[in-house]
Amino acid sequence: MLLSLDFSGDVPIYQQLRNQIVLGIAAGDLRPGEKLPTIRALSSELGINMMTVSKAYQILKQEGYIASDRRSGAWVAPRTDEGAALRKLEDALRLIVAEARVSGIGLDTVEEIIRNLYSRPS
Amino acid sequence: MDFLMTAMMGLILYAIMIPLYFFSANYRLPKKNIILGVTVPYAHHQDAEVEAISKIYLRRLRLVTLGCLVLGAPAFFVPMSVQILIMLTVLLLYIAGGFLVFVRANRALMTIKRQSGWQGTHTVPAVADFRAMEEKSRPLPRLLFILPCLVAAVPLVPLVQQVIQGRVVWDEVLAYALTVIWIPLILVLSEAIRRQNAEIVGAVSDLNVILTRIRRREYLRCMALTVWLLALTGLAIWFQTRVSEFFFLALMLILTVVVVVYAFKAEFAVRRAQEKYTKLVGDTLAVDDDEYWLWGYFYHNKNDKRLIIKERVGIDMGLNLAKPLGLICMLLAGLALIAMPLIGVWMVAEEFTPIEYSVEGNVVTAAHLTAREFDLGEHFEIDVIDVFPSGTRTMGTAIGTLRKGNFNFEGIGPAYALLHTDRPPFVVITAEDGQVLVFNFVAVFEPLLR
Repeated sequence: MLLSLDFSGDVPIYQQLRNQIVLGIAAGDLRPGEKLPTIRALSSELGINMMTVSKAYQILKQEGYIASDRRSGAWVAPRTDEGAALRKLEDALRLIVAEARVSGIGLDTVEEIIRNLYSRPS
Repeated sequence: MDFLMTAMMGLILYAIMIPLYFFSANYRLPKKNIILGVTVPYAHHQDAEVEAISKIYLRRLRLVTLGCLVLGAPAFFVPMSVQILIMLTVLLLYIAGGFLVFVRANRALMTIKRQSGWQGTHTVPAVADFRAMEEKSRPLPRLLFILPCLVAAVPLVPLVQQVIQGRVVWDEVLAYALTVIWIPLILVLSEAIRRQNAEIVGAVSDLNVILTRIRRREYLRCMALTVWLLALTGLAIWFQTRVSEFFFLALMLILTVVVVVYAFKAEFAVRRAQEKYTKLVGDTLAVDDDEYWLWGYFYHNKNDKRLIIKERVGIDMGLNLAKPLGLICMLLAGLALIAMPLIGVWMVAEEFTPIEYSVEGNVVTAAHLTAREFDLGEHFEIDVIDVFPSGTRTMGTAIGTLRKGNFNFEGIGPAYALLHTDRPPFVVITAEDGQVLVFNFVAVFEPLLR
């Protein structure tokens, strides 16, 4: 799993971290049960604040992508709650599909983009 | 024998300068897509303009090296202090000259990079590879650190015996004890190095893991060698009086060569791996943080929270100059480098300033750069000896024939000396308070003999 940050971009660092870990899980680079680096190690590796990494991990935990405890650190959570994930996907797509319709993008094109993204997650 | 000793000292300069040349020349070869401190896309490594800059860099570096080798040649034919002055000045000139040549090449390549639009918009300055991060180099056997600790403690045994017998040699005990204390500190540091940042050469995690392992392992070995060097140097200094000065110098030269050779071997092992894997992975990952590297050499990144960073090429570590402490440390290091020849100036003054003694009543004044007074008291003993006694230097100067400072002489014990060893006889004065002074015997001491 390779993770890269762009300090000059508009996306906050914690959001970049969160997004890339989700992409890593989707691409199979991070498998369920696989341990994630500690907050201290990852912040030191990227030269960013520990709080930033902690915030990204908290969001990932709330979203159910990772689990953690004090002793074992953080690891990729097994995907069990498919219903919740579907609901979240529908919510996220609703706005994107609406924007596509306003822009005049056809259903076929939207489907093709999603198909491509699904086969190449990262 | 004197010529051999001078030659050996002179060789130390060449033993440092020649490996430095290869170290600097190697910057022109691409490692992690970095050439002369500039990130160049893989497809452009062989471009004619890039190769032209590399060739000019190498030619200029060779000129600087040759010039400094010639400038350093007189160091083989002059007294020790002048020799050290020449060596340190030439070394400073070489470091400064080599750096200027590097900066010029870096600027030229950076201009080409900008003009050619090689600065990709998709490049990223910070990358982490989870697998490479998890790589944990095997720790070196503890015995490798415990044994030198014991070796470094050898000189302490007789010294502690002397302390028990009431002969105060605390400064000498402290000097050797410091060597012993350094070793566990390096052991702690080596643990931190086992967890230092991962090496990333491209988007192939397996290669990143291997490169990280090579770097950490070589670093650990260097630490182990440093520990042994500290221990053996301490031992060599302790042996200094038991063996000839020539043997001591030869031993120090061998130790210097071993350390320099091994440090460069480690550096080049990492550089070779970086070069090899760059060829294997190509442009699989567009890491480009050139904007944070001033002249391709100094790291300055306000977004980076780290103070100590690893250099992009090779095994070395560096400082983030955006951190106040990093900037202060770098300025101090720069000042220390510039001040290097001053050590030589001071040594020349030490060696060639004449010693002056004067006696007024029971007070002896010995002057050499600064004057020092010794009150002998009413009841003192004075003796004249023809042969300079052997002994160890606790704290002070020993340049050429000059001996100045605290010594522990055989048959005399701890004493303060200010004399030239080639001008016998010598006067040994034991003051009322027990302090022992050893000087050249000159006319001013004659009244004290009566």
